[in-house]
Amino acid sequence: MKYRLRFSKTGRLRYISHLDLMRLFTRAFRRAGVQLRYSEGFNPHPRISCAQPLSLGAEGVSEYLDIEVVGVENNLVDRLNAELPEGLRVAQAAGLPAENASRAAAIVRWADYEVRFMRSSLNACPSAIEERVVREKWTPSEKTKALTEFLAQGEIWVDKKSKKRRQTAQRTNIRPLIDRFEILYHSENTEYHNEDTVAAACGFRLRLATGSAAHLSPILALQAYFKYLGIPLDESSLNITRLNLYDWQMRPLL
Amino acid sequence: MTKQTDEKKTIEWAALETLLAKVEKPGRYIGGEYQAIIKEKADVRFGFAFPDQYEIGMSSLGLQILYEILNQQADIACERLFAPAPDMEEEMRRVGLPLFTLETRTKAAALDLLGFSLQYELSYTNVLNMLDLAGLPLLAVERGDEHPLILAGGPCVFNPEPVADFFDCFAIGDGEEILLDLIAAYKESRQLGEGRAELLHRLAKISGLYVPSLYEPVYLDNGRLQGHRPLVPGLPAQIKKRLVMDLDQFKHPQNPIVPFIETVHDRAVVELFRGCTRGCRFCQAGMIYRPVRERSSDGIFDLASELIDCSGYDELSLLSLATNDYSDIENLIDRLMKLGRQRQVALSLPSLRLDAFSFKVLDEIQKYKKTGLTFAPEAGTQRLRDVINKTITEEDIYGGLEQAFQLGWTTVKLYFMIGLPTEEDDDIDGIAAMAANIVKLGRQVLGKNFGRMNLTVSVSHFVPKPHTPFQWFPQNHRALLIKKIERLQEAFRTLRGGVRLQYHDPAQSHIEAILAKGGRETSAIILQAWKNGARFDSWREYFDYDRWLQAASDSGVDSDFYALRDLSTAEYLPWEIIDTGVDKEYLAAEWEKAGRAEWTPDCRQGCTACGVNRLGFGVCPSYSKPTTAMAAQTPLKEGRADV
Repeated sequence: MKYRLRFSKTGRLRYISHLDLMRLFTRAFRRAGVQLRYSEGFNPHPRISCAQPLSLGAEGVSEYLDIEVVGVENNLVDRLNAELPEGLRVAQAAGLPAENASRAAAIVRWADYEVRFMRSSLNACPSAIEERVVREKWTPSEKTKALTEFLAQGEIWVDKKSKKRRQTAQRTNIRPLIDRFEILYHSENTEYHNEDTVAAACGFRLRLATGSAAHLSPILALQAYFKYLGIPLDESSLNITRLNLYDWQMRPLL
Repeated sequence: MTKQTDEKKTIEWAALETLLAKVEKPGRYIGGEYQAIIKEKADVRFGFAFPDQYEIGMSSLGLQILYEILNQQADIACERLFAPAPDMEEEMRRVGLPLFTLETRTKAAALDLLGFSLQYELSYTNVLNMLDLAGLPLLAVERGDEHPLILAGGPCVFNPEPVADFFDCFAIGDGEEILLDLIAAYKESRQLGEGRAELLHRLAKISGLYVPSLYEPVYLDNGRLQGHRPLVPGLPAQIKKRLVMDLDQFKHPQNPIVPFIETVHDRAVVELFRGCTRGCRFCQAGMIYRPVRERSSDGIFDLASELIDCSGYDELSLLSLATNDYSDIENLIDRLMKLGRQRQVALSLPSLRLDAFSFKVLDEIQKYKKTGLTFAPEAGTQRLRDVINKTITEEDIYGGLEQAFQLGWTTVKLYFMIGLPTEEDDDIDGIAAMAANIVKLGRQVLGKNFGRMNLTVSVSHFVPKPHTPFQWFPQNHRALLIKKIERLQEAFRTLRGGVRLQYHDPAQSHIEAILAKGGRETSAIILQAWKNGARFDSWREYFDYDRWLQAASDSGVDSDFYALRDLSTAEYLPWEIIDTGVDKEYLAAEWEKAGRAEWTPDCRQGCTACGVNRLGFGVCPSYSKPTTAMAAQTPLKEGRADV
């Protein structure tokens, strides 16, 4: 039987990689007594796959995991949550009707992201980037104008590094891969409402193409925008949250 | 011991988080793994520090055992600390973030006790770096009542002298009981409002604890040691190692921490037994962990099945110095293989001797994917193997390999040491001759599959270790070792067919010898090397020989006084302050026999009177003087398959 699970990966668990996460899930299933089906062949591995790997350092609040188990399982959500560490929670599990149901990875097309600048109490003075963003460019009217112009370009060409050929970057027009690109004026997230962080807690809401056919990472999208603005971007100061994943009809995967 | 309460004892997650985006593998620093134990309130906060990176430290069974034992006590919180990788260290120093524990992010300096696990000498500079990152004075004499007590345990503390200046107290031997005794004494001392001096006096009276500041090395006119003088009355002249005789009493780890990120040994591990009866003369573990104490077969099986269930691991490994030596090995492996089939868990068996049973087992667990086979002949000729008391014969190896080739294995690795006592050119040439014979054998047995054969010969440099029969042997100079490697390279040049010779610069081994056999004066070299920038010295990419040579010359200490000098058996050696239970006379007799290339049988065939029985009896038969009849018995066959 195939199941699709919707889960969140937040807090400290954003710092473990996709492979770490798969290993963690496999062990949690074993502990919960859920028997995963293994692939045939010389090197059997459990049939478990994510809709789209989340990059190291990013949070995901609606992520999807497909599994194939031996037999039928009940109460997967509670059984699994009992075995998962803080930062990882399963919200929903549903059996996939047909045995040949498409894997989440095959149907995912779009992803929503929220990106904010990270600040901390330890790093008392604002970084040069944020300083410039706040003081020079980011009056609401200028911001909107700059963004409208950026998106009005029919084509936005960037150098996209392919995973297979790490050395060679490919010129790609990313404009068709951007469905939505909005600026968030202030933090609505209480987590960033400390007095010294609120000033810089501006960010973005993005909807970008995702999946094996066409894919754009939020970092690449922001790099293109900041390049357009002529402002350097410190990627390590970005706090990325993937909000949800959708199919071609813009329906959530579960 | 009161601590300032106005100062914050923990670091904020947010402060750590700004660094995590900038470093490799941030998962090393986040804590909160499955079955990690977090206690917000605790009477005693004990830091278990492993002076290397997370992936290495988390592979230590000792860490998992002691973590569980300490945390089972309601009033003790045991928390972990590892050496941050160089990129993280740089970030921490840049923003002034001190070393912290993974569990509650308590600053190392705010702990009550901080214990380091010393598993290899080349981790010593990491200890200093961690103390420095914690903001603690590096020298014990510079620390006061406001600082945590700095402790060390593990195999390296069987010669504690080279690091004596840095630690307040050493715990010698098995850690299961001694740490609880130590913490109980700490609590009592604190309740009575005692200062550090009184606490140290208290600890020095506990069996197995060594407080170096309460002993003074006494020197002869020629600069050699005469002995250690206790500075207060009532202290033992020698520190006897602590010994746990019944391992079944300590069913650990039952609930090990399951790391988020991949570690070096990412699997469930059960210890079969402690100690080894084979008596290889170069092997420190084989001497200091005597006598052999086995866990019961049922106990191992139960622990293994509980471990698999609670951890979710899909691989189980058995730990010991020689798997096949376990009394009930065939029955146990049969049961574990059945368990593995039921729960889809792969069994991994290191240090396996290649006999018929092992092949049956290996063939089953590696049905489709055959990993390499590993043998450790250690020396190239039978004469030299007799010298080191390694009883594997060439016939054992060729016989084992013939069978292995027939069953489909093609990848073989052989381990050798060079720089062994009495070694001649013939012994070096013998290594290449063995490789040539294996190539020939491969060609015969593998036939048209010969092209797939992959033979690696890995050569390391012998480092004499304290408490072994070879402790008196001067390590070969680096120049001599390099010459021997060149001779080997020359001999290997003529070999064809997928043979690879692996070796590295003997510089690291030279430093290891200095740190292993040094006296108390060695602390000055280590401190200077750290100041010169040394850390992660066991990592080839970070090790810098010149930094160490410079440190030795800066500190004005004769670093090679013990490492490269031909020591006399009449001489008092720095590590004689520690009593492993094995008599010095026994080691000296073994050293002499080595010179005559005369072997000593496995203790399971009869007691060889090493002396450890005065501490407790192991699996070796009851104490009796060895007889000539015993010496005539044939040696047990051996060989290894690390799979």
